[in-house]
Amino acid sequence: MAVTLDVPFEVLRTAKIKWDEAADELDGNWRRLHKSSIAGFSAEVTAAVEAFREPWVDEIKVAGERAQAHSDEIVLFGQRVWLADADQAERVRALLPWAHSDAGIAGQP
Amino acid sequence: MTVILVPAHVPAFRTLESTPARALTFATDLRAVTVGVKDVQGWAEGIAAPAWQGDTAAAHDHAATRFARRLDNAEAALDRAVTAADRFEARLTILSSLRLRLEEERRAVNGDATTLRADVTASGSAATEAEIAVLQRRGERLMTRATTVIAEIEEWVRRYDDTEADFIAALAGVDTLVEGRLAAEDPGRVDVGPLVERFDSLRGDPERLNAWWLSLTRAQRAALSTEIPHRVGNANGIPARDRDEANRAALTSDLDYWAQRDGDSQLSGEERSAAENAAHIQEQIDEYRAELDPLTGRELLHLLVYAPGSHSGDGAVAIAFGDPDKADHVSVNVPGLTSETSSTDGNLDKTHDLHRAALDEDNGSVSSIYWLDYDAPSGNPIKPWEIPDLGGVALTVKADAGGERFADFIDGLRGSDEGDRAHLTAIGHSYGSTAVGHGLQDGAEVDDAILIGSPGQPESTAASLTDADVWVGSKDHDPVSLLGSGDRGGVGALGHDPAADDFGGVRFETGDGSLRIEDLLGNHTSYFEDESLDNMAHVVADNDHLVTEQPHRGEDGGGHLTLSELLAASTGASVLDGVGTAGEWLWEHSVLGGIL
Repeated sequence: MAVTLDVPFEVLRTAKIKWDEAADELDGNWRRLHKSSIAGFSAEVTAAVEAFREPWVDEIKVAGERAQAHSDEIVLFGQRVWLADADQAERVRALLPWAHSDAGIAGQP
Repeated sequence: MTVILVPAHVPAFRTLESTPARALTFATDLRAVTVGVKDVQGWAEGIAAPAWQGDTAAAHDHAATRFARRLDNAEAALDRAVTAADRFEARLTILSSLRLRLEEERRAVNGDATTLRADVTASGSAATEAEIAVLQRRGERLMTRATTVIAEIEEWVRRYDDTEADFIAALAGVDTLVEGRLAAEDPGRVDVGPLVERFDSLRGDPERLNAWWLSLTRAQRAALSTEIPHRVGNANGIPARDRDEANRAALTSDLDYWAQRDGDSQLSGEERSAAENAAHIQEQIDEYRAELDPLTGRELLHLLVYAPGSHSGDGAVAIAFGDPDKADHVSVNVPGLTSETSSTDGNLDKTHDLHRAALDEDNGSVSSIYWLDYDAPSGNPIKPWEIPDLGGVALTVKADAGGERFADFIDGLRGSDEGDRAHLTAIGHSYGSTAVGHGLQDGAEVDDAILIGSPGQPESTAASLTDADVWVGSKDHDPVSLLGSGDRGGVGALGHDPAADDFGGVRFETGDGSLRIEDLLGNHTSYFEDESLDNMAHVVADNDHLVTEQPHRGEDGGGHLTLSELLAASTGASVLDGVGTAGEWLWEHSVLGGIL
């Protein structure tokens, strides 16, 4: 018996697209922050900029990777979502708008 | 013994180790990053568990909620950094100007000290008491100047150190993830939601929007500029400097995002078109980046409108050379048919030429704006009524709509103007002159209007068009300028010929241009050259008395060919082989050139 998630397909499809777009945007953001030039600053200011940049480049990069992973978690075949088991169904449900947070999960693989 | 005090040379002092230009670039990068992070965080927040709904454990299990909350910390840290970078750049700009003045005075004092020392040596023991008294007074005055400049330099150094220290401290306050979380939880954090609502309610009222904007704190303005950069950057009434910053942030963020999408082969057709428009604009910014505004010390170029996906994909852009809020004289020129963002470079060069020419008038500071924020149709300039899917009526409608947007833009310039009211000149070229004419009908508050290569105006006289002084540049061998109804006919699809005697404008000298077919297009596109450019610069800089005139069409000395006569005569005058008719030649060669 297949696992099902009681959510309209369009919601799943949109969620996948939006997580993918978020990943792209954050990917561009951490790269921009990382390469922001520090030429033309004094040594003290340069040190402060580098100290500020480092954790936030990492954080935004991680967020982007997480967004991409979320998008990849939602695997679509035609008009259906692929769900391996109840655990994955819960993970996918947690990526959808909160309004669907109590969507029913039924069946076992 | 006679003593004459001569100050020692004031030593050279520190240069700006951190430059305003560098700080501006860094601030733009930070703003762009913040725009992107806010965009994603805002979406994630929108699908997250509302704070007032659901139990904590359930919300914690909701991955989207966790994602939104964590990204909010980054957003808060970036907001703080943007505000700090913005302030850093502003203070460095002031210090940079101040340093120039101090360095000038330091050199002057040292030069005068050298001269005085030489004069004292030359006077020797034979100097009279009167001569010695003069030297002593010079020495005393010089000592006072030297003491003053030394004190001012010391103060400058202190301010510079404070400026760097404040920026360093601000960044250090948010350079860990924990500090980002604390910034997000800070009760004093800018609540941008109500600000956005207020901002939106004031759009359309430039004066009130400007007054409200100026009442905000730097942090509030920075938060709005990164929360809704497109809206802030394109809002009439927002100061030009802030529009520029918001638009550059939006541009940079957009380019980063589209680059990632392109790398994943996910760009849609619309996105690709917008991305190409954005890239064109970025190229222009890069090309003029090294030019600084002597009035403000900042980059000369200001991006006042940035909407790369608007107007059926043609995009919208407005770029100023010089800050229009601070300039004594402001000009806004509107291009014509087939103009789109991708053709900005050529039109921008013309605007830059006019800017230089107007500055050379030496009658005050100047800001020159290129404005393309209307839907300029594409089509055959010789037969505009035959444009595919568009009739003459549609052309007029588009000019009317463009004129309305133009008038709104002018209102915005008036709303953000600082100091004495700027002297403002509207310039319309070709179809753009028709759009400007409609804007004047709508009450655009300009002091002068220049109509060049105009295919027609919506009113039959300058007086019925506007209260502003109307100047007309029309080369008799510019076929487009013969389209308006006038003293010898004219199609009149777009209105009346402003060069006609009964229109009542001042027709300034442009020459007639060559009669050969292959030069007709050049006649139409060369108003920003030679005596025509000089005359426009006189008007822009309010040196009206220097304008040279040529007779109106229809008055003595104003004889001219009609359009059909010109096309026939120019075919005969051509040196080209195999040319059919002038109309065909023009059409074939006008598509790339943006003739109207």
